[in-house]
Amino acid sequence: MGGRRVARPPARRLNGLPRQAAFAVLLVAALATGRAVEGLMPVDDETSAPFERTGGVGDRVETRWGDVEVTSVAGSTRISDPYGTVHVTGGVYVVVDWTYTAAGEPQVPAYVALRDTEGRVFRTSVERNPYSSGGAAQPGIPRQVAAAIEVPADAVAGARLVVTLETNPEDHRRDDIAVIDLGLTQDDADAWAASEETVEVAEPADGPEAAS
Amino acid sequence: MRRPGWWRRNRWGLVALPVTLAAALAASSYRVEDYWWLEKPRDLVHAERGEWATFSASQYDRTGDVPFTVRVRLDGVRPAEAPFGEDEPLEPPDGVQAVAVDLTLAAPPDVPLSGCQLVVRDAAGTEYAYQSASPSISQATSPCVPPDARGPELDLFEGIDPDTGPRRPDEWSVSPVVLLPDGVEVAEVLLSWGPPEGLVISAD
Amino acid sequence: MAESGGRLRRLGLGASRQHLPLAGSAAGAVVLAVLVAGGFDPLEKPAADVAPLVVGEAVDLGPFTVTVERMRVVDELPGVSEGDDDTRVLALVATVTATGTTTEYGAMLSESVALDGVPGVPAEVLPGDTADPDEPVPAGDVYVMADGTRLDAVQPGLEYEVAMVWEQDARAAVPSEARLVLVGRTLRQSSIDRSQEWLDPLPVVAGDIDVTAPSAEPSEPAEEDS
Repeated sequence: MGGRRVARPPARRLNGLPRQAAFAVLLVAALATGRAVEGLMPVDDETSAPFERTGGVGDRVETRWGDVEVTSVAGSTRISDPYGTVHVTGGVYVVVDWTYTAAGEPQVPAYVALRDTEGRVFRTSVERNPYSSGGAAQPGIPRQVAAAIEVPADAVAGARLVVTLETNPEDHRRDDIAVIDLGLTQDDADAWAASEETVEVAEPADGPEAAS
Repeated sequence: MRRPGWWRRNRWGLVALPVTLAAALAASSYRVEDYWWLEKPRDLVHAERGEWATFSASQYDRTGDVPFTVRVRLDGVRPAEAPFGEDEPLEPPDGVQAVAVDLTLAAPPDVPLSGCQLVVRDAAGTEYAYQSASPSISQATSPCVPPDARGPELDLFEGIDPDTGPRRPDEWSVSPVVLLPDGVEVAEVLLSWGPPEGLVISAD
Repeated sequence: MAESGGRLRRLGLGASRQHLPLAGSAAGAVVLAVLVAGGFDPLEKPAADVAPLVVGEAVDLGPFTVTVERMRVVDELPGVSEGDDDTRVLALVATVTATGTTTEYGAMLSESVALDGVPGVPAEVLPGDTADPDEPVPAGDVYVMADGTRLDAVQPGLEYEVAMVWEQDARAAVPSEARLVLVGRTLRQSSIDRSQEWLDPLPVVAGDIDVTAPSAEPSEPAEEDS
């Protein structure tokens, strides 16, 4: 379409502006409109958002880079990390055990965090929020891992575990992230905030769950 | 007089269009090398089990490119009895098998070869890597050289002599161990001293 | 209009006669572009207003809120300095909270509190770098008072009572007062990758704090010794 219509001079309608000038104005206007629309709409956020693969405790959540299955969730104000160091929090330590099975090639899920219902993100660290992946896991061989993250008590109810490969959140764009609802309630939060029992954070281990 | 048709009026534009498209694609693909070509071994030399393969590639260090040639023979893939270069017993967890990849390599003793990656693939292309340390195994850091006579290293750090250990033999055998889920059959062994070059040996 | 006089002259004449409006609008466009882009950065950033330090008052540093409580000399701090004859430890007790919605890491926290001009407290220098002896020295490490372990991540919504520590050469005199500098940061888009980051560290609060000598009180932080 349009092949013939171009021949009809549109210049007359534009108050005698030279045809080329009119074209230039139209082009700039079109570009500016596109830019404005792009700026007004959340295009960047939407197109670069990660793909959230969701599930609950005991579900096998499948992602591009492997499966994540949360096996247990515990909590207290005291934990003992894999080196035996005891950490005490003024909030709550949420301790999550899960099984990770890599797909395709050896992979390391290096990003582990809790996300609360307000959208706050609590990430693991080396010492105070211990998580060790045990290095790249061979595909098909389940790896048992654990993380303990300290959060304020009001972040516990409804918290989700987020697991993915890249440590930098910027690099989560257009990649799969596993988001697991830990099924926690305010009762859990209250009980754990009052608990002084030391919860042990397990070292990474290979093999099916029964072996650990 | 009839005006020339649309195709005729725009013929030079049409001629330029594929060229422009190709140029635009080329100009915007500057990351393909880093993010795809150099990500894994892709420039592959193929070989068969039991026969010598000659593999030439290049590494680099402080001195620049270090080209090398090594001859490799895959002798076989078998259930492993012990980790590579360690005396500790091999205790894979339930559902996991340990396979030893028997390789014989030959190269002059002054060629740095310790920086290599070994991967085995099953028929579906799933990759299992040689790991020197994991929760289930601990073995020699390099799968390609004798653990007690690694030969020279790449010259990476100023002030560190890259060749201090005992002389590496001209021909040697290694048996690196790779952990796989039970029931997986090794179809190919992939050796690389840095992408994009790699040596694929069929294990059949 | 080709005359004698050479090319330069011709260009000059041309510019003055005909292209003056064009040159003017080009210059205008350049100025406009610069203004739209935010103008030129001044060569030296204006020093931020540095407020005096008030002990016990919360200071908003951007990523953290820090309340400085007290400072003392500690002979022994498990895991940091165990009865070392060569060094003693200056410990600043403070309360810290993260202001944002995501985890902030400990390195930024220790860089946010610095000691200025205390003799015998050297800056940690990365290999290849040189330390400016006049620069304030950021805290070496941050420990949680409740359990004596290192605070390597500050979770949002939690309040931490911490000990920020500096090692001092034991040959230097025990200071009776130390000058603290609290460094603030601004959350803005990084010009490199357009991500939101805490950037532009600038002193926000500075002032002297009394230092309690070791004999005056028993060493406090950490009952844990593992």
